[in-house]
Amino acid sequence: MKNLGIIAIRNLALGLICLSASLANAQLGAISATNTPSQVVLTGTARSTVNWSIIENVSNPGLIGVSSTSGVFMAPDNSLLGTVSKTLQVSRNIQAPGQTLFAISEALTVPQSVIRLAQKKGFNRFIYTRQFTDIPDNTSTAGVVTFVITLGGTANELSVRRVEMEYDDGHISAVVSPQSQLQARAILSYQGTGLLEYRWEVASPPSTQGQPIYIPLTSRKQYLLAGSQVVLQSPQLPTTISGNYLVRLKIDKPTLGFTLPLLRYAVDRSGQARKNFQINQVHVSSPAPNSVLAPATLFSWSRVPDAVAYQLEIYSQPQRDTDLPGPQKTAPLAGVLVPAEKNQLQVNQLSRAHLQSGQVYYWRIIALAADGHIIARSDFRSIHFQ
Amino acid sequence: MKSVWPIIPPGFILAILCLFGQSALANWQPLLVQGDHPGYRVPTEPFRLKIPADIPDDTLQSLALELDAVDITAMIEREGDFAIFKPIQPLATGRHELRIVEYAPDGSILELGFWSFEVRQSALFREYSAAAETQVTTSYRVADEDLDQPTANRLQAQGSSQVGFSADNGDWHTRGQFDLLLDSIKESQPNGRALDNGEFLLNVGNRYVDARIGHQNVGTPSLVMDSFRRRGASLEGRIPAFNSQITGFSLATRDLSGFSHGLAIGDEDRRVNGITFASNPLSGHTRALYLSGTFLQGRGRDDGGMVASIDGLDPDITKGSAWSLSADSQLFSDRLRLRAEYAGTSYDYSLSDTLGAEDDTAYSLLATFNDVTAHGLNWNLGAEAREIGTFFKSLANQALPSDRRLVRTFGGLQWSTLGLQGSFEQQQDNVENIAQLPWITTDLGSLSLNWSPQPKKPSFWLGTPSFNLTYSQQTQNQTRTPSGYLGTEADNRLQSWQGSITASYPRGNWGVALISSSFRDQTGLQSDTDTRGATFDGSLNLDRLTLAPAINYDQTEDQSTHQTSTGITYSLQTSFILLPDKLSGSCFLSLNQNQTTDDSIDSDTFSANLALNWLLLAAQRNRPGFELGLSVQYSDFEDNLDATNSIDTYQSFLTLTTVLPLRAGQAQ
Repeated sequence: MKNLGIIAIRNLALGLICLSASLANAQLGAISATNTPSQVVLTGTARSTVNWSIIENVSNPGLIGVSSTSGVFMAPDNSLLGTVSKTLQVSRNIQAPGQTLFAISEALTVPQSVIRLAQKKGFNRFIYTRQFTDIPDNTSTAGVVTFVITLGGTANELSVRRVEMEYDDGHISAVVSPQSQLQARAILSYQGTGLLEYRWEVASPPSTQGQPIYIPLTSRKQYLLAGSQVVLQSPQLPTTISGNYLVRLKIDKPTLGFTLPLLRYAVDRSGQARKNFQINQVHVSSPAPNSVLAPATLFSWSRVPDAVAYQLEIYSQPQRDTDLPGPQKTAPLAGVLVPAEKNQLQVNQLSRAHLQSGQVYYWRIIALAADGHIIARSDFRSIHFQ
Repeated sequence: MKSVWPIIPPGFILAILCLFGQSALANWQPLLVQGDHPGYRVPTEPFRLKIPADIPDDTLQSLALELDAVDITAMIEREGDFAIFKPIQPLATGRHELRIVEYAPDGSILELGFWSFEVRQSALFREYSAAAETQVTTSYRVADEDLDQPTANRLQAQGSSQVGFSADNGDWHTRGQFDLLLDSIKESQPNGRALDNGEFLLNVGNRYVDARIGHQNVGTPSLVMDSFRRRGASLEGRIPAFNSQITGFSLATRDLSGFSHGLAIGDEDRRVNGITFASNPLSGHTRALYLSGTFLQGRGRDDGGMVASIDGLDPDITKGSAWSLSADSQLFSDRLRLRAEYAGTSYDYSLSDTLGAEDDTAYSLLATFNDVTAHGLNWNLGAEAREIGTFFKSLANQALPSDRRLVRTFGGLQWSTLGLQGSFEQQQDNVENIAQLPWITTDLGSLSLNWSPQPKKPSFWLGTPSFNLTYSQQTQNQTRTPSGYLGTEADNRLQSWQGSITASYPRGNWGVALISSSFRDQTGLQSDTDTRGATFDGSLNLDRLTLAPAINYDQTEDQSTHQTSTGITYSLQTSFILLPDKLSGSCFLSLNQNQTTDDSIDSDTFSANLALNWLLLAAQRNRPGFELGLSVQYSDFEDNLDATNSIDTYQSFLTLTTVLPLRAGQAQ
């Protein structure tokens, strides 16, 4: 008795479905599509957003849908270049007869092998096509978009291909003492031409002890041409509060097809916390940051109590100082050591001979105590050597 | 490396001849007196140079002494026939170089003596030192509002530690450094671990060989390997007699941090192996010729760690090999520099397709010359030619733009504090002349003027200033379009002006920069756009207060739609001492405003972070210190278009920070 009841309910449900199916009557109309970007670089994988617009001519309202189980890449000679095994499907309840638009957005990865195969066949374009099927009537229509093969420098829309994140000394993590100089940079590889809109953000303590709250440090808009590479440098990162920090680059335009990595650093005051071992600041008055190193350039600074000597150090990039033993520290490319009676110096020909014309260098002043300890350091400043 | 100038025992001083040139003005050679220990010097041992007492003063004034590229002339003391230098900083153990030169009247530099020597602690040379700087902060969130759900636990721990050690025994040295990052909120860590490693480097070696494991750069930068700092292992061998070194390496292709990947070279699908060499073959003229070469091969994908890319979305593994040879030469007292490099790659973009590897080559040529006239005018001139093949690709230099042929000329003048530098460059693509693809030519020109006066009395407003003005222009034209090509033609121009002033004072500095650029597209594909920007930043360092304000402004105007978007960010960082050695604090304030004229965006974000710290106990060597803290974070986002999007949050914490500076051995 119980089984008969279940069978009856099942049959009733099937009947209702068939009835609704027989009542729903729609036919696929035109399919249009756009792909952004439509130009793909010969030497790399491409990422494009394909927006499919499918017209359904609905005769009888009901549950109507469209689906596509796969897409194919084809050369102009109809040879197969590759397939995409990904189902796209959308459906909704149509209330009234007439034309209805279904829109599906597909994030498409175009493998570099597809692009190369098309080019090797002698073509500078290929198509991507999908067969869409109406639910429940099973009528089918194909939609097509065209991709044009280019090289990186052409005038297609700007597209960011690769981002590598690091700090200004080339490291990917940093533990620094309070008031240290620290900058992050992103090495960006791109194709095409256009406006890059980006901002640097940082989550500082105490928010990183609970919910990280990102604060914008700077936002910039910069035009990029000719498909190449650019280095985006952050402003000086905050290092006043000790604790863990998170740094991120947000690119607002163009839209990225991937997620950018997050940089982490810590401000650790333990190195400065010991009595009698604090390293103070050397206040430099000249030359100004970004000056040119001329023979007459005068380096001058304020005297530091208990210093017996000062040393000018010139490096190819800022150094992340640590007083810990470990792998050999990078020696300065050039330097000058003077007794504490002097608080200014010029870089003579002997030291200039170690530098290369046209390069940018970074310099600082350190103050030394009688036992050789560094008791004060200035910030790094850049200087151009012509 | 030059031949080692022997350290002469006092009894044989007069019998030694200088091997590297003679004084232009007198018949004498300086002699370095042997140290207290045969074969080595100790770190603080003074240097004694014998210079005859009858040398004229004007000759002495023209001498200079250099220790490891640092001019130490001003530190020399005279005692009779001897010039003495007492190192302020103990010299690091290992090899060092001392050089004495004379400035000739014609401006050239004559090397009178060169000595290479080893520094040790002792004959047996046993030394060890180890140190760790550790800070752990335990925090309790006492109050909060409008945080995302679910919220993190109220009690959390964060910290960091840097550990370093060195041990030296006889000819061998062992050194290492690594850092640890602690965050009990595991989601904030890259690998989801509460305690994880950032970077590390361990090194064992002697005078002839060094083995390294950890994060490292290997070899000289080249077209096939540049800025490739990765985790892995390397073995470097040095041949002092030939001034050469050879390094074998195995590095991960991913830019990783953390414990989870170990040495990161166990995965053959993410590893590159190779060998580099570098040599200064001309003994006595090391800068006259520098040769280097690299060979590498491996597999990888351009993703992972601190790299994200579109190519990384493709799951296929790539495989490739690359080689490079270069020669670099500085001649005529370093006035002329010539550099040439030739490289080749064989790169299979996908191991799962049937297309196989693509072979391609690249070259780079550089020539620069600089000199100074009799009137003190410095000038420089240079030319560069470079060609990177369309399919040139190296696993160790993935960021290098390929398919580029460029020619660049540049030059400049520097007269006293005024400098002028200009360059012009032309780039072409489609290096392989692929018939189905277009040709694009890009011209880039720039001119830069820099003035850094040295006022005798710095002014109140400008202190010691530096001024810079730069103009640049780039144009892009499609010089050949294949028939039937459907892509958009390139015809655009970008012009940019930038000016900046920086002023420096004993207790701080400030700087202002203005930038204006305009983009014009003749094809209409992209909108003509003008962008303008201004930045101000400064710093003030007083005894108990530091201030660092900054303002950043940028505006973009679309010339087609006349829509403008504007963003401005104000920020102030400050740290202060309320009670010396007891109560200190820091604060970070920021206001960011964004607005567009089409009313699509109009928002303000204000953020404030404040921390107060009370020192309970100062840390000492091997003894912890403790600090109590109160910190508050407040953020207010106002959406002026839709108030329902506005939200303000705050969090406040009580913290206990423990710092522990550990030291052992000779570490101070």
